[in-house]
Amino acid sequence: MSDNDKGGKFKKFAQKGKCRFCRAKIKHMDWKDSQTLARLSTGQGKLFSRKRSGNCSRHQRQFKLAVKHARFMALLPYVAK
Amino acid sequence: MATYEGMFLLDSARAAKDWEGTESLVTSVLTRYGAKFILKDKWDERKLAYPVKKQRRGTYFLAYFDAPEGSMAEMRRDLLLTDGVLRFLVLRWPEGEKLPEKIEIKRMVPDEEFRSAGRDGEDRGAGYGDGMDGGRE
Repeated sequence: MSDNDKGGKFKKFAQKGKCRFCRAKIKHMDWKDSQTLARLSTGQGKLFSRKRSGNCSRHQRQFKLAVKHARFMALLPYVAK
Repeated sequence: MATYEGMFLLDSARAAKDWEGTESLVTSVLTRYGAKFILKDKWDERKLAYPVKKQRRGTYFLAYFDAPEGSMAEMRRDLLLTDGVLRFLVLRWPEGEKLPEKIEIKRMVPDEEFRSAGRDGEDRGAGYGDGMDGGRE
């Protein structure tokens, strides 16, 4: 069984091995980058779970806080229609 | 002294008419409490995710500055009373982290990184929506 066989639905993440913020060597997440944050949220404005975002625990925690800052500054919606 | 990153949401109509004056609403307050600017500029003018003080658009002003520790509370009190400043968020800049060289809209991760996740997300959002969330919780 090769690496490609494991992971099923989430194969793409399994292949790459690391979370995308780790790969980009982001130490502190930038809450002003609303586009990136929006890519990790649903159409309603809810956050992707760690499983879906592929974030590591550190970056998922930072992501959570970043979205909250961005929401306060009206960069992201609290609830989107 | 500590370094802070402050973002200020300013009234767009006012900023378009007189940028210098609108900017000085913020800068004058900060300097009064001993802030020294490292970098400051207009960040963006855009539609807000939701109306703030009945405004649908806003101009963002971003500044990095050194300020005496403990001065934030007073600045905050003053800024809240300033007309034309719709909202602001000042956070302490993480120690040891490099400051940006100029004010710009920067992406952390290139968009290509999201192609799979993004499409996945959209598909699911449209297809399953609320039903799935409800079922799980």
